Amino acid sequence: MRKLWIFLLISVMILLTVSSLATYKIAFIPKLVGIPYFNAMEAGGKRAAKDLGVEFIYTGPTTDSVAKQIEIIDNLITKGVDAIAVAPNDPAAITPIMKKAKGKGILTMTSDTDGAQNVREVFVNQARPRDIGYAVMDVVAELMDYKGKFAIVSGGPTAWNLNTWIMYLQQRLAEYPDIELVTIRYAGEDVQKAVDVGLSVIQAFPDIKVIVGMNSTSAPGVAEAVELAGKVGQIWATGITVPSMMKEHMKKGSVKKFVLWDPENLGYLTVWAAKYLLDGNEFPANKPIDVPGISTKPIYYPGTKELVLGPPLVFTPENIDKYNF
Amino acid sequence: MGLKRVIKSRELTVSLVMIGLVIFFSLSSKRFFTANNIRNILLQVSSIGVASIGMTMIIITGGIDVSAGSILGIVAVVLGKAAVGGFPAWLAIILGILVGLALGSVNASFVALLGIPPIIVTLGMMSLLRSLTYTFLGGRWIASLPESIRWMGLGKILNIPIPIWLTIILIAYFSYFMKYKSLGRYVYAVGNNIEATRIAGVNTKRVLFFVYALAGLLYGVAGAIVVGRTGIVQTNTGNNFELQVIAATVLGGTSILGGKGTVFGSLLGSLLIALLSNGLILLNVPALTEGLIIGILILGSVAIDVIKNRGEE
Repeated sequence: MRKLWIFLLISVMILLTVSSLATYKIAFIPKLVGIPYFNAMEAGGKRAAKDLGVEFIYTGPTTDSVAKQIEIIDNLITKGVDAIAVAPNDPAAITPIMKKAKGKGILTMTSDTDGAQNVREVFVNQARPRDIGYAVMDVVAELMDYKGKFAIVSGGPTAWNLNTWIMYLQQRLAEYPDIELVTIRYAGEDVQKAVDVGLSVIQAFPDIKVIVGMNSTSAPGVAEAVELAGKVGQIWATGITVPSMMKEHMKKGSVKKFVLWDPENLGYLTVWAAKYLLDGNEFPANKPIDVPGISTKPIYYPGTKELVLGPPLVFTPENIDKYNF
Repeated sequence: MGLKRVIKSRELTVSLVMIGLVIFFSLSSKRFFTANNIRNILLQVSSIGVASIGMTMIIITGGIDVSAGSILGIVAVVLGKAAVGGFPAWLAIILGILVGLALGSVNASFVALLGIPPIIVTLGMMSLLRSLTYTFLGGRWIASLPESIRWMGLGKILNIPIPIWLTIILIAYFSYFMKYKSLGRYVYAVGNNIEATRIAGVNTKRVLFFVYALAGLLYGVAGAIVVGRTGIVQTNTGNNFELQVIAATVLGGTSILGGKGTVFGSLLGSLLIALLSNGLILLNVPALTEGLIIGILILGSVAIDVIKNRGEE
């Protein structure tokens, strides 16, 4: 009887060791937990982990804290994981900790936002900034029938990704000779501030035809401002945000189209890419890659070591009900 | 109030700066001094103005409350969840405001009954309540709120929006309260010399408790306004709100050392900040200069105040 127990115990231990060796532990650290966008990425990561038979760890700070994020990465290194993917709050500040992770043989990646460019193995990019800027500008142009004025309300004035999108948006704007950008304002990550700034912008430039909210809080904020100012039908609100924030505004008629990518698919791709590299593969360069489980065909650019999910998605009243984030 | 005191008051300094700005903006943009725009500015002020009543009283007692934004966040969550969960709008709003009162009373208990320094109590509450917001929301924002719950933000009486009514009524009442009610006078007394006030027979613990609990209630009202205006409850609703309220209060002449200040001054302070951010957009001044100008204004007006009152006390 005692021998049997020992035998069982040993076999369980062996089984546990083998199984823990066999499944990769892939961690994703978002900028902050608790916002719909990263929840959607988490859901995608979980789905990929189930499909691919890996363990997915999702953990991050509750505010967009740089120090907390670094601390969490440090803990993951101690805990021992196979891959760390991070959406850095500060692209430069995470370099040392990513170096440390790499030194321990951990696969280091960035996802959603790039950082530590000379350390990380790959950046899983939702869409190239150029594609996003261009897509928003094209939506703006369409909404105003290629003629008229528009304004932008962005998030934080130092947000690198938002500024890059605005830069490309302006590059594309040069191709529309009859469209004029009248002002760029900032409202942080605060819906009420975006409403107030939106109202002031509409007051200052009553002849604009489109108002753009560049981040997840500004877009619904400017839509609310259009409704409050009684300008539904005269001014379209659009921008970059999650569909759940815009559904009501589409019903009320202040929003017709807006832009985002699919963060669920981005989370999926992040875990898929980690597993793919951990298995010892290399991405085929510059051509669409078949990733079962997502709706786009990503492309890998070896020059910048970027794996790009695909072109951004334009949400319309026709497709919005398909998305639940 | 004697003429000399009026001239020396911060309210006058801030009012003069405001009048100067209004004249300047009106001359620079014909779209500034319009009914629409004045409504926009007052709406922008409303939530900060209401919350600043409580903050002013707290700062007058020599305290501070950095948990205001986090309390507002919890109130927003309770309100949003209750509304989505099928509660009638009036009940959800009352529930939210009561939660504000309850959380204010927690602050009050620690500060007044246990005598823990307010900055420590409210710092603790700030991060504790923010974490609870994340937990309650489970990361999901509430976006599709029923229209009825938004009455506190969108409703109108006599074509004037509810948030503006609330601001005017509450500021007017508490200006009167602080000047003529004995409890109001005790708030100043506690700020000036808590020991002497206690020896004079005033229950100073009761005064302190009242101030923090009332502030919680007013953050609750502010929370109902914010949810009403935006129609969205985010995990970071109210983030940094306390800083805006403290800035308005200090700009409006409340001494951070306690004993001095008025709720009307705080309203002027928040008006000044809103006026500036609105006017700079109308003039299309580059956005990045806004923070710079507001910073200079706060430092400048406090400095003028100090210079004017030099040698008085």
